Amino acid sequence: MFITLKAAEGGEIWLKIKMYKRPNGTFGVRNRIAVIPTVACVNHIVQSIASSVDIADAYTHPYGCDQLGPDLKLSFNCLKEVGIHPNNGAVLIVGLGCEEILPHNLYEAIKAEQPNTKLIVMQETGGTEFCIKKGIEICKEFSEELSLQAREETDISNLTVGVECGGSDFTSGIASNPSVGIFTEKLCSLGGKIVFGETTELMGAEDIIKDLCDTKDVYNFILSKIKRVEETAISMKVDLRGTQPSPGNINGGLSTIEEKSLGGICKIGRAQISDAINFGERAVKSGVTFVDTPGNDMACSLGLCCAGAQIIIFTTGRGTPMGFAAAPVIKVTANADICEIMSENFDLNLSDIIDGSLSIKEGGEEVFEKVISTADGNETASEKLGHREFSLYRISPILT
Amino acid sequence: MKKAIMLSVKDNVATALEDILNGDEVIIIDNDKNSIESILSLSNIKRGHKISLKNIEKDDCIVKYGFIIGKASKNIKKGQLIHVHNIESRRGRGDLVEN
Repeated sequence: MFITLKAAEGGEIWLKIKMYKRPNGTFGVRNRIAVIPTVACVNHIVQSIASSVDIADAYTHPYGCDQLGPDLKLSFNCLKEVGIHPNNGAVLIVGLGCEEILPHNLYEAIKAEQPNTKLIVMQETGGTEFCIKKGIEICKEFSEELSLQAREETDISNLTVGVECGGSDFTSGIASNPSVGIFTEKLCSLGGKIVFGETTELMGAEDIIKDLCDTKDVYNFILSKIKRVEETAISMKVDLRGTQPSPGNINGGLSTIEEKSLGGICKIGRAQISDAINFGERAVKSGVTFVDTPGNDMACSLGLCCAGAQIIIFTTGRGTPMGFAAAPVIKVTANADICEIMSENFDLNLSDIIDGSLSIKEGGEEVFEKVISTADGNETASEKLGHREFSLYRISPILT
Repeated sequence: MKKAIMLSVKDNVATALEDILNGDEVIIIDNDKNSIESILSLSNIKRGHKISLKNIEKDDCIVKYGFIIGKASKNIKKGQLIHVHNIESRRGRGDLVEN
């Protein structure tokens, strides 16, 4: 283990952790290569490159072209943020050359914070086979270089963990989310950061959030984001119950969005919410930061990673296999049945809480130990299985 | 004996911790596993689904975790299943907007 306990001057105990130091001062729990397409047209090239190098991940997405205004700006910014994400020790950008996300601009933006960045623009370089070959050569060089980098001891306050739930059922709100809540309180007390999102799934939990917010401004920000989602549903004349709760949630015992939200907010425990930010922004304050993300699992993971999460804890009652390219995802369930059916997809089985043989506090300790072991380099279930999904979050319709 | 958990003293529902059949006697426990009361189930209730702890009138609030999770869309008897057939969300209901 890379973890040591040390007594501070005041006699306090804090945890040291070994991570990869980045040139911009951040720390990563992984040392991977991000292969990022600026447009969907080059996805095959990116996939072929990444599948040929063990530590490379394909950040493929369906966009990059026919995007305008704030939507284009958000996509550019998200690709930049995942490029400079601390879990990446090197970046290869692959562009076509005529798309709206300008490859040279993205290259400059990422290189400013991550010097280990290279660019291939297809229309300036060559055809598919040539670009794949060139990309593999670049990534193999990166790979050799990264294998020489050692972890450095640093304070646990440099750790940001995203907490997220998906495919929830009754066990989520009773067992797995409250256990994550205990973890959240502990990490915050040690100086670490927690980020959470899923704005839609806060609807009905406003009274709890009000108590947890440090300031009125933070509460008003969160409230305005919940209101925006609710007003959108009302203006579209749709019943949110088509997706919130989803058919799987309903089958798992959840009847309304309010019930789902009240279970979801347990991931924060009683830790104070110190800040609230927009999608694509970075969390800067210690403690808990709210990020305005959709409930959609992939979009939420992207928002939490852009906010700086090096690890994501994902609770699920129904069972979901999804991982994420930029950060290891720890899958936690308290549903014994699904744990048996999809056992290889889970990192933690907290179903003993439902049976009464494990306390929520003990569940929280198990989550904490799993996070530390993941930060230490141990692969999560989704990493082992090759679940390193990625997508962008589009905020406007395709107009052109 | 079948068990269901009541998460807050304010709640008028409990969550079944195992499959319950119509006519079963159900022990309601709190978060500390203390038995609160025993009630007769009037429905088949799947594990994880909710049982009513009181007679609830149409439009009354349904409370779980100590907070409102919706309102009753019909009268519900103590011991009956509470789910989407007799509870309505109060949030994000664009479908209720007049044209």
